[in-house]
Amino acid sequence: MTLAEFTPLLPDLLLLALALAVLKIDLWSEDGEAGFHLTWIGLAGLALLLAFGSRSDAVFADYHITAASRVWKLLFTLATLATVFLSRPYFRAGGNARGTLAKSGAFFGLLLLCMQGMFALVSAGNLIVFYLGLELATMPIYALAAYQPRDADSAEAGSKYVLMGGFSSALTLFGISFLYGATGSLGFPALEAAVRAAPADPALWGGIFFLLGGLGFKLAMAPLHMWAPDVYQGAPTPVMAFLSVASKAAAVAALATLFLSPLNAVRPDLAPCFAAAAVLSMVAGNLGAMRQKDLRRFVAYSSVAQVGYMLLAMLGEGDGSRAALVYNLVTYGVTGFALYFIMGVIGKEGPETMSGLRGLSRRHPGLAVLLVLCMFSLAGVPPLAGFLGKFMLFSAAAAEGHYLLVGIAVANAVVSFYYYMLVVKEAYIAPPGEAAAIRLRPLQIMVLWGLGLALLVLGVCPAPADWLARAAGN
Amino acid sequence: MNVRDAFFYALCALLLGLAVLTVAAGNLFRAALALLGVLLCTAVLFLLLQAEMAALAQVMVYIGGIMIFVLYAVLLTSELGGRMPAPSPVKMLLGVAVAAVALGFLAGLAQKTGAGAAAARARMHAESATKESAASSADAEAGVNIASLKTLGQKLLDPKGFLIPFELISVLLLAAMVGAIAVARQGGAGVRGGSEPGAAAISVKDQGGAGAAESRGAPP
Repeated sequence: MTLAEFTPLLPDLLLLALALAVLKIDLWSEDGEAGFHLTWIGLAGLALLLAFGSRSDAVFADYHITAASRVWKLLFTLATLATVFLSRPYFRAGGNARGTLAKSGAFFGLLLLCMQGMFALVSAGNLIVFYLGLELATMPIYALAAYQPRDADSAEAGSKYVLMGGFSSALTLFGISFLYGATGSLGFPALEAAVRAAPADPALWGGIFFLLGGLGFKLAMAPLHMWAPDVYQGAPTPVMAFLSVASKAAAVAALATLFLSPLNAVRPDLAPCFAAAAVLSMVAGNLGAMRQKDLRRFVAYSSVAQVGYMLLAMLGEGDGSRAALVYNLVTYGVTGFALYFIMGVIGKEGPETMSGLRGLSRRHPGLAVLLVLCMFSLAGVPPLAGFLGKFMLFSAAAAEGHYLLVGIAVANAVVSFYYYMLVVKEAYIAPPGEAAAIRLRPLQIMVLWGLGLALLVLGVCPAPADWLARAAGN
Repeated sequence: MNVRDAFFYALCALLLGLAVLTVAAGNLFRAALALLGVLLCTAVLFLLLQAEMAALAQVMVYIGGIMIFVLYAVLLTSELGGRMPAPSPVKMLLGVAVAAVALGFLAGLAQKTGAGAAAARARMHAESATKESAASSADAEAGVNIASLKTLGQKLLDPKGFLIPFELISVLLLAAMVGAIAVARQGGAGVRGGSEPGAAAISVKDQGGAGAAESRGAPP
């Protein structure tokens, strides 16, 4: 093998080098500044490399570099980059009312290692790489969820996630062993051929059943979502952000990797299963979110509802579904991170709860406007990014004739409007206490403007959607 | 019935007895020990099938790793002498139902495998002959034991074999170690002295959640 043949693999190798460098540099850096700067510069470089670098596809044994995998990787990289920026004040003394996080070097290193797992997951060409990627993409989060020092909730979140994650990994592995038993092969091409040849094999269905169970836990799809609110609430906010965007994207990518390519032949038979999970997730998420006072719990339930919408795309045909999923995750990520940055800002002085938002319209009008945009986007109001994301999901399902399901989803979106407006009500109408004006740091202003603009642009301008659809559909 | 068969049936009887004991034992520690016996018997079953590597992995992974982990968990969490309360009839019924479904599924699978084994073997052979793994089928024809340690080691480090998963595992272990150390070193004693016991907090959180959520703002 010559050196040039490794060029498509460059992002993955660079990411590993970056993770090791960040862990290493932490040994010498006293205040953790070097680790932060190295991480964000490295991630920005990686994002540029993925967006504009080598476009050639390559296969290394069972590691496939394709255009679709590059789009997923770009998504993971940007989500991690946003997480790194978001976590910045949480490591500063006085940056957050809940307490200061320590050991930023290990924190960033773990984030990067987690990303490496997500990279492996979307490049997997066989079930072993798939499983290892899935495991590597969750294992660092067990530690990150328990990262808040001296905090019982964070410790609870970590241990709960370890137990749930371990259980779901075991289910996944069990499913994979059944698939191997049924088809006699671990590679995706051979798996696809075997599934086409004998789609009614009971061992195959046993495998699919367990795989769906395991991935459902990771995805926080109802009825397997009960861990999500506790883990989201207990984990530090940047970790919650990473869980709800990057980790969720990885779980969706896992679902898409398996069920849109090697197991595509059985997907029509699985349609009732996906439909039931979608409806359950939407209803459980929406009903749960209505009663929450803690913003992190609120995000957890709202993300369960979003998973329900995303499952609709699993009913559509392959390429369109993948494009809809990627686009929806991008819009969800942008909206989510805008909300999490606002949470980070109000978390400086008070708890990150609904009541902490009180008087936001007076303390910082710009921030309050952004909050309104976020909530409208999450609810799927037309000119914003969230609308186009939802629209693509719904149309993917409608194209295959699942009109009843789309109707249920639209009804749920209308219901969700109620609790998203509750948040806006806190910021604008609820009587404010005495509170000082909010001052933002330059980094925060930059990121918030960027996310706000993206919210508008992604909803109005179809060009990025087109580009993503073409790249991801491949 | 020769000696080998007799040994096999005796082993199976022992395995099943220990499996029943695992479920029926009132004491958690005894249940764990019985489970250890079940796993050991399974390893011997693998040996009878001449799958040394699988037997070795069974001993290393299940007995060396997982069982020790389970025993630690038992020792740390429950009183050793104490009897566990008997499960409710509903739970028992549910357990029996799940076990019956699993048994039916596995029995169906076993029957199908027995009938279709020859066909599957032919299919796999045809596949491996046409597919990339021409080398392994050549090995098989030459009578090389596929499950031998040497072949396995070579496969693990072969760029066309399992090199990438093998390297990924090392990254996974690194992540696990870094994570464990990072969490263990910053928690200190404070975690145990937290303001609210986690288990009690969960049940309140969903009931409006205001109390549990807001109380965190003020340190105890």
